[in-house]
Amino acid sequence: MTTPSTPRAAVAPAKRTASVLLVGNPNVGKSTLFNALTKARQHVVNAPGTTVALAEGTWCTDCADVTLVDLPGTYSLIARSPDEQVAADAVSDPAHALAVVVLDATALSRSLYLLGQVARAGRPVVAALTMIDLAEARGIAPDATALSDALGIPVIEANGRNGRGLATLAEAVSTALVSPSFVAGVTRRDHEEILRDRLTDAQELFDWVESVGDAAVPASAPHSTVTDKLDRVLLNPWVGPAAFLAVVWGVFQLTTVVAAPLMDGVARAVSGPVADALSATLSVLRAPDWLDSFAVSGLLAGVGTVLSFVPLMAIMFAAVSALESTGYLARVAVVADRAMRTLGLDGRAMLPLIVGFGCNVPALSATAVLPHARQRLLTGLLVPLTSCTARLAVYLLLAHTFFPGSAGTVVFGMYVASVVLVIGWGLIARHTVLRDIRPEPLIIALPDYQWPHLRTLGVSVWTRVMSFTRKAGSVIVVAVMVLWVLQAIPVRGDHPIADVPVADSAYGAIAQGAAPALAPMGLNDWRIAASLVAGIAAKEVVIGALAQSYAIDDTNDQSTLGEQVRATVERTSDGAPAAAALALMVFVLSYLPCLATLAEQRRLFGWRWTAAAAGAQFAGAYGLAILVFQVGRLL
Amino acid sequence: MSGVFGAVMEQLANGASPRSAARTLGISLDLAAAVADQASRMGLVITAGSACGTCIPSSSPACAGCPFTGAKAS
Repeated sequence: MTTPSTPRAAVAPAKRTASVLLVGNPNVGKSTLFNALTKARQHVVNAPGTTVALAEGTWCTDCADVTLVDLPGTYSLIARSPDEQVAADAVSDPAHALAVVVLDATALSRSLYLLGQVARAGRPVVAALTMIDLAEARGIAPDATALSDALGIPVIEANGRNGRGLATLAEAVSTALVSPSFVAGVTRRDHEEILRDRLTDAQELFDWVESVGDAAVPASAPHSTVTDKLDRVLLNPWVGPAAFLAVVWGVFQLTTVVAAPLMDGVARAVSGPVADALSATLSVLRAPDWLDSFAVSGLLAGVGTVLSFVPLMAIMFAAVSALESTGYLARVAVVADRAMRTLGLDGRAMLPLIVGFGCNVPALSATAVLPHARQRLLTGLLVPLTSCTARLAVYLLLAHTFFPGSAGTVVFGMYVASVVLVIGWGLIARHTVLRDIRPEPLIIALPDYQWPHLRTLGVSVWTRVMSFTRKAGSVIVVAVMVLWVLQAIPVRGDHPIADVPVADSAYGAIAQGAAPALAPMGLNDWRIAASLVAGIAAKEVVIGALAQSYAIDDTNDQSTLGEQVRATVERTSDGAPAAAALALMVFVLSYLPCLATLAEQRRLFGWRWTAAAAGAQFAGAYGLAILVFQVGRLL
Repeated sequence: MSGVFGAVMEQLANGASPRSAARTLGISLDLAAAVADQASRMGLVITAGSACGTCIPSSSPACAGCPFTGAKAS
């Protein structure tokens, strides 16, 4: 950095010029000090080669006109941002004659660590001690003289607001420019040497910080806080997991019980008044019937599906963001860490997997709690194996129909099977396509508990819901429209377009073509195949599609539907209906994610991973269902 | 790891917050917080704020690949 030539320099040739850095942690009064020292003699420049703005000003001391550079605040010279990198680069630049390091009297250790790093760079230093009045009020004010003795450099109490100590600081800087002062107890190291062994460097500097702090700061009695008391419970090896399950149950309830009426309300509004209004408009415009059907049953149904997810996503995002901002999510990660590490994940992966038992779509979005892309990917690929509530309706129908005496046990078994599949596929993925995932030690600097900031929460929820609506929504709408087209096109009989019995539609033809593939699992029936094809759109549709195929108008009458399904399966399974029903449940559990889940996976991980995972999942489900049937029929 | 840095790291690894680590070790909170911050910069520790959720939009390196920033996972 060069010192700008000024008229003042021209009229005062006897004075030398020098560049001095003002270095400090954020919010330590550094800029206040800069303004007080330079007054109006300052301007803003970009740091060399960057867009980071720096304030430079002229500070007139007794022996020199100093160009004072107000560096961006930082806690460390290991930079996290471009601003911090500018500070780190400036400190190691020998063009600057001196650094004035601002020490915060209320948080001296953090300031001392930065001072130690500046000293490591070999920069002569003068220290300005700020916030002394606050530190005095808290009884932790350091003794400036003792601090100066321990550091071996001038330490000046300075207050930019009232000007106290500024003259003394100017005097100290003038002296240091003539006779540089270096921090005692810190060995100078070059940049490469520090980079080679940052750990040793940090250990040495912190030991030095502790010894200087002990010499200059009065001891204060520790006291227990609310965070400490809560952590004694929530991090307890026994109580912690139970509390976690209770919280998860609450989130589960939010995603099912609370969101369900809202989703129904949106769906009813779209399929009711909105659909009626659209039909009426098209009728006024004399649109043909197929266009009315396409607009209402295709386009609007797709939009309705997307909109019906919005309340669920908003509630889910709000719950996850709130848990995170209170600091609880970090505790969950600590509690669940050991179990998840067997899969190469850490404790934070537990939340999305648990949420998946409510609905896979927000669970995928909840993978954002994981810090690494590969961990998000593995968790996101496992989420569809968690049995969402939509699949529960299928289990209940089949369990009550085929296992009336032990339906509850069978349904519970499906959830156990879901967990086993998650673990199994996780281990397979980790040892094949995701071998590079390493179970990293999870050390979290747990934050104190705090109330969520509502505005931040609102922005977070809004941003994420909009992202879902724009990206996943477009895929869902297109997919639902494709399904409509398949159901609207007649391939048999003399039916007009968009008024076709399911069996005679392209959709029905596909189902009839797919049905023989289900024979090895004892389910060679086009109606079952059709329901599974429709279930790709949404698992909620499986029961409705079965009912539609059996031409049952009242889908609430599950016993009648059950009898029909039982009669079909007894025929297709060659006398082993229970084994075939179990195979069907296992297949429904894992054959393919619904369209919304696929769309969300594509949005998060791209088509390649989504297609590969869906293919592998389908193949696994197919093989497993055949195995269940073939073994089951022998028992 | 040794010294006060190692002692704080051990506390964090056992699920302590910087505050409780400071209390247990009898050191100042800002010293424990400085250790946690420096360890985080060195990639040894995760700070809750740098993990997710609060990265709207993409405010930390941890947000790289986050779906909400528009970037794809590799």
